[in-house]
Amino acid sequence: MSKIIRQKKEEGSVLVIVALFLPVVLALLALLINSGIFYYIKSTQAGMANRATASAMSVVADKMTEIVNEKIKNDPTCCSPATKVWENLSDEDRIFLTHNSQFKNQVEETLKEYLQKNMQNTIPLLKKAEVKELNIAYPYNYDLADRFLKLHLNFTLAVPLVLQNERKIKDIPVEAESQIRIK
Amino acid sequence: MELAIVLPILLFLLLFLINIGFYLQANLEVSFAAQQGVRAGSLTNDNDKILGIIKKSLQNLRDHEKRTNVIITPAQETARHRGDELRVKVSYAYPPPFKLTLPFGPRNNFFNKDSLIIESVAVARMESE
Repeated sequence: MSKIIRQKKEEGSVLVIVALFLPVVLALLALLINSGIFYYIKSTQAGMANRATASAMSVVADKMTEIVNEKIKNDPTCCSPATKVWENLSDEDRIFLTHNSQFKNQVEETLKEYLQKNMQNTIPLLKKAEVKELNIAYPYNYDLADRFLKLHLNFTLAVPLVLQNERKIKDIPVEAESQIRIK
Repeated sequence: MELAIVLPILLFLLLFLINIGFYLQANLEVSFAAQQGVRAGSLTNDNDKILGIIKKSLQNLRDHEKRTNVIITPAQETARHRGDELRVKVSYAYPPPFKLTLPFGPRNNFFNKDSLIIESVAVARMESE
């Protein structure tokens, strides 16, 4: 009895497999690039937020110097030049620095200004990014015993993903903190 | 035969991913250098310190000394005062590790150039005179 051997023609099967899996490979590629961009934005924007909080905190430091200089002008014996600027601050001065709403606004405006300036100079991808839910806590965790005045910045950055429809927007939370010592 | 058709596509994807990875890494280093530079500048008001810290931050990048350009605004140390805005712009001509030339499509594509300019600007408030 003779056996009938059927032979399958397998030429071109690699092409079929690749054609079938190409959408999967491309989807994985898109996922990889998007997650890379997510971490890229997260790290650059954290630096940007740090610069903004440091700039805003320098307004507080300048105000401290201004207060002490004013005191020296009125009474040259009031403050010792040997001690640091903030050691010459009274509790009233500290209350002004931490609770005066006009001064608080000035600090917050500086923070927003530098946040905006640094945002404008990032990669083209972030030109479409929007800052939403901006929270500024000033002073954050202020306590006379603690003697640290902290400025805490917390915002969400809405970034359109590159390999998606632009309607699909990813929210990236960014946080930064800057502190100054009042002794 | 089929492998000859498929392999260039897969290799192209692989080289594209490697290029993107290196490009983003260089981009991060340039923006970090600008951030460090502006921070040093706002604290010390010293151009040499700004340039020194930028050079140190970029030391992992290829030919960084020849390929980097730094612009500090305002350029003169005496023109900068406490409370002013300091701007540091770092540009690096990034050489892609692989040149990808396609047999079709645009000849002058993203990775078919000798160098790509990566720029980063950092802005801060001056904290010293």
